[in-house]
Amino acid sequence: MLTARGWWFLVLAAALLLLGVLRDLTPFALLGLTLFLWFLLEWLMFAARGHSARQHLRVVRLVVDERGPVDNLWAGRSFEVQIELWRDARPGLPYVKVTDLTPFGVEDVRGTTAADGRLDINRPLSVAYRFRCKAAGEVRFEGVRLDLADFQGFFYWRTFVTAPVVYRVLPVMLETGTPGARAKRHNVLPPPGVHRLRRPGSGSELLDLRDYMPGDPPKTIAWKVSARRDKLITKEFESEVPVRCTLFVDASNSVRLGPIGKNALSRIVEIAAVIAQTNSSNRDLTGLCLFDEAGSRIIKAGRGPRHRGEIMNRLAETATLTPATGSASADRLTPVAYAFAEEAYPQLLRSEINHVPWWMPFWWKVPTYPKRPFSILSYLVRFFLLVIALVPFTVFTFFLILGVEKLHHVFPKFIARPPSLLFTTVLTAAAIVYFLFVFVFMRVLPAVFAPRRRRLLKWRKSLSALLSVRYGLAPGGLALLLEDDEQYTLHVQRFLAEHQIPFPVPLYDSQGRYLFAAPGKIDVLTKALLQAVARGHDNELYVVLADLLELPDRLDPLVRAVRVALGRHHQVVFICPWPPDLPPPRTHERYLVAPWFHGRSQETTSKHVKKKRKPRKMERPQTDEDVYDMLEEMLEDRLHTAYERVQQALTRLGVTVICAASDRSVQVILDRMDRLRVAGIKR
Amino acid sequence: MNDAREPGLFDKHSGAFTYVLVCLGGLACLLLGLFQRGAGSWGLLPIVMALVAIVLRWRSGPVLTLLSAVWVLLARGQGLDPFAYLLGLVNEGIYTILFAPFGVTRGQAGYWVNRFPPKDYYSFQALSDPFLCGGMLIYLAGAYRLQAMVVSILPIDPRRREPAAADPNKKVKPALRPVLKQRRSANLVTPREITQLLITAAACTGAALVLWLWLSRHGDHLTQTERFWQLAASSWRAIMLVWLFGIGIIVVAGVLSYFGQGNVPREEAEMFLQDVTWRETIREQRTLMSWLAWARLRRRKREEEP
Repeated sequence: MLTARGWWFLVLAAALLLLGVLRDLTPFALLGLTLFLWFLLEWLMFAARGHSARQHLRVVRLVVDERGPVDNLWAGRSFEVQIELWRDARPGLPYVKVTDLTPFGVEDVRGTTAADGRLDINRPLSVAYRFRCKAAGEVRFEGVRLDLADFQGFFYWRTFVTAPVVYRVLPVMLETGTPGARAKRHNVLPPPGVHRLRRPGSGSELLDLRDYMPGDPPKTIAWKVSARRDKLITKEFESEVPVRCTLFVDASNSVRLGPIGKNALSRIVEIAAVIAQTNSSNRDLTGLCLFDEAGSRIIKAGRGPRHRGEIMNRLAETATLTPATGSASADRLTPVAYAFAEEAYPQLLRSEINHVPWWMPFWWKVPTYPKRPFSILSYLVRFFLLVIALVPFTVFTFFLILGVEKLHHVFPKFIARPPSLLFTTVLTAAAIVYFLFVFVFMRVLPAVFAPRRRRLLKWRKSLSALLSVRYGLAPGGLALLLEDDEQYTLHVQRFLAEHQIPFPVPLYDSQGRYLFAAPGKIDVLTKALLQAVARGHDNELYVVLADLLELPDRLDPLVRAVRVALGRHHQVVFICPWPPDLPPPRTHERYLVAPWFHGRSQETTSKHVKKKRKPRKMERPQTDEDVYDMLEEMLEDRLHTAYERVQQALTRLGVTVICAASDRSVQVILDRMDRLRVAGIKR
Repeated sequence: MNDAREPGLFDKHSGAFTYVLVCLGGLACLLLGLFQRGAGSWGLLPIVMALVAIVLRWRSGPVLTLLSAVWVLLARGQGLDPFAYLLGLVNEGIYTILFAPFGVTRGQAGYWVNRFPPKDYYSFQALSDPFLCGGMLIYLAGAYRLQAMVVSILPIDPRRREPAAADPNKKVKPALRPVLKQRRSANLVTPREITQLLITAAACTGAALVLWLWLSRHGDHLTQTERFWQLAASSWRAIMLVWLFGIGIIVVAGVLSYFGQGNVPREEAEMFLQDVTWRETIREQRTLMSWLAWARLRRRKREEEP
C-alpha cells in the first residue's frame, strides 16, 4: 500500500521529528511534526476511501459496431468496446486509474485501454478502444483493473472489479467459389430446400401409373389412359422431401491441440459453419452432432434463422474448447495461472485471507504418485549423512564425559561418575534434541537451495485456495489440491480454459504414449451415426468432420456404421483436418472430383507437388536444424501413411474422404448437396 | 494499454504548470522562514536545489531540498556556515578515526574553535517557524504531485511495457520495450484540489504548533512533578508523542479494519474461513487427502491392468 516514495517521506519525517524532540531542536520538531501530521491525514483519507473503494462499483460494457451495440461478434471483424465505471455511493475517489483487461482472443487493439481521473457519483470514467476478433469462439472480458492512488503517489492500492462478459465470436462466412442454388433456375428442378425421391408421394412429377385401388383420390385417376385400357388407372407422383444434411463435428482433445484459431478444431468449425450457412441460404435442413470422447450432443435438423443461430452458437462454443490432461506438469501450469490470478483476482490472493505460512515452502513436500521406487542409493546417502552427523555428537559426548569426570573429582558427593542415571538422562535428552535438529536440517536443506521450488509451492498454495473456493471444493479442497497433483492440474487447466488463457500441455505421458489420440471418440461417433440413421427418413447426407489420423487401426466399428448408413441409401462424406504447415496428401486431388472445380484443384495441388523436398537424411543429424527437418519429415510421412490407411478403409465402401487442407472441402460438400437435390433428374 | 503523455512544465494550460506555481509559492514561504532564522544567503541553497530538481525532474528533488534546509539550519545553529560545518564534520571524522586511537591530542586550530553558536537559536519563533513549516509542506506536496504527472503516480511494474508501435515494421518484442510509466493526466488538475492543499497545509502547520506547545508545557510539567522517573523534558515529550501517535494509529487502523471486515464479499469470506480451517487442521487434512489420492491412483492402476 505504501510506495517507495511514501516510505522515504515517512522515514524522513519521523527522523526529523525524533531529532527535534530528543535534541530539543524546536524548528526541526515542528517541521517533522507538520510533515508527519500531514502524512497521517493523507493516510487516513486514503485508507478510508480504499476500504470502501470496491463497494458500489459498477461496470457497464458495450461492444458496438457501425450499426450499434451487438450481442455476437464475427471473426475477422473489428468492434469497439465502450466501458463506463460507475460509483453509486459517496465518497468519491479522487484519483483512480481504470484499465480494461484485454481478452486473449482479440488482436490489433487500437485506442486506449485505460483512463484515469476522479470517480464520483454520477460521474463515470470511460474507456473506449477497438479490437479485431481473431477466430471463431468466444471472447471473455473479465472486468477492469482499478488502481487507486493519492495525488502525491505515497499510497497505492490495486483491485479488480470482476464483471465477466462472454461474447460469442461466430465463424466468418467463407467464399465457396460458386453460389448455391438460391432460386429455381429450371422448371425441372424442384424448389430450393427439397429434393425428389423416387418413391410415391405427393410431389408434382409423375413417377408411375398403376391400377386404381379403392380409396385413391379421384383427382389422381389418369382418365385418358383409363379410357384407352378400359379400366381405372391411377397416377403416382414422386415424393418431394427436404434435403437434410447432418454435420458430425469432432470436438475431442485430439483436435483441440494448438492455439485457438489455428488448431484443427477451428478449421473444422469454420467448414461446418460455412456448410450450415450455405444450407440455410438454400433452405436445406441442417443438423449438428458434436461429439468427443465422453459423449455427443445433437441438434435436430432444421432451418430458419433461429436454428441457424443455434448452430452457430454451438459451433462458437465448441471452438473455444481447450485440451486437458491429468498428466500435465503442475510446475509449468502454476506460473501461468498465478500470473493471471494476480491480475484478475488480486483480492483473493491477499495474505489476510490466503495466508502462506513462512515454514511451508521449506517444509512442505508435494507427494508424488506413484511413489518413488525403492532405491538403495538414496538410503545409502542418507545413512552416510547420518554417520557424518554422528561425529559432532560423539565429540560432544566425549567432552561431556571428561567434564563430568572433572566435576566428580571436585564435587565427589554431588556428582557421580559416568555412567550414572543423571548423566545418562542428560545424554539421552541431548541426543533426542540433536537428532531432531539433524532431521529438520536434512529435510529443510534442499529447499534452502531451491528458490524456484519454494516460490512454486507458495504460488500453489495460493492458487489451491482460490480454485477450491471457485469450484466449490471447500473446506477440504485446499488440502486436496495441495496433495493431489492430478486434481490440481485438472482444476488449473479448467481455470485457465475458462478464462481463455493459453497454457502448455504435454503430448506424451511418462511412458511415451500419445495423450491426445482420443480413441473413445470412435465408439461415440459410431453410436451417433447409427442413431442418425435410425432417425433418418429419406436419403440424407452425413458429413463427418473428424480427425481419424491417429486412429487408423480402430476404424472397424465406424466402418460398420457407415455400411449401415449406405445400405439405407444415405450418403456419407468424411473430412479430415490437416496441419496447415504440412503439404497435403498426394492422393488428395483424386477425390476432388467436382468437374467445375477441377482446374483450380490442379493448380493448388501442383503448388504443393512442386515444393521440393529435401533428401531424407538417414545418418545422425548434426545440427538442431537437421533434427527439426528429420522430425518434420517423419511427421509428414506418418500422417500421409495414416491418411492413406483411413482412405483405404473408407473408400472401399464408396465413401468420399476429403483432406481439409483448403477451402475445397466445402465445395465438395455443396456439390454433394446439389447432386442430392437433383438426383435422378436429367436436364 | 496507454498512458498519459509527459506534460510540459511551463505550458500554461497544463496542470503541471499549476503545481510549478504551487512549488514556487511554497519555496517563497520557506525562503522567508529561513531568512528570519538567520540563514542569510545560504538560505538560497535549498531554493536553488529545489528549482534545479523541478527543471531537471529529479525524483530525489524533494528529499534533497528538505535535507539541505535542515543542513542550513543545523549549521546556523552551530554558528557556522553550511560549508564550514561540513568541513568541520569531515575534520572531526578524520580525527576520530585516524588520530584519536593513537592518543594524538586535538590541535588548537580547527573549525570548531571559531564558532559562536547563537543563544536560543532552536527555541520557538512565532514569526519564522510557521512560514518554515508551511512553506516546506506546500513545496513538498506540490513537488510530489508534480512528479506524479511528469514521472509516475503508480509504482513502476517491470511487467508492464510500453504499447507496440502502430507501424508493423517497427514492432519490438514486449520484453524489449521500455517499462511503462503510469503518469497522472495533467488535465485532471482542478482549482479545488489546490485550495484543499493550501487549507490542509495551513491546518497541519497550525495543528503541529498547537501540539508542540502542548507537548512542551506537559513535558516541563512532568519533569518538575515526576519524582520516580527522573527524565529530561525532551524524553517526556518523545514518550508522550510515541504514545499519542501509537495509540491513535492502532485505534484508527482497528476501526477501519472492523468496518472493512463487515463488508467482505462472500467469496473472500469463504476463503478466509477455508484458510482458518486449513491452518487449524493442516495435519489431519494432509494425511486424509494424501491417502485418498494414493488410493485413487492404485484403483486406477488395478483397473488398467488386464
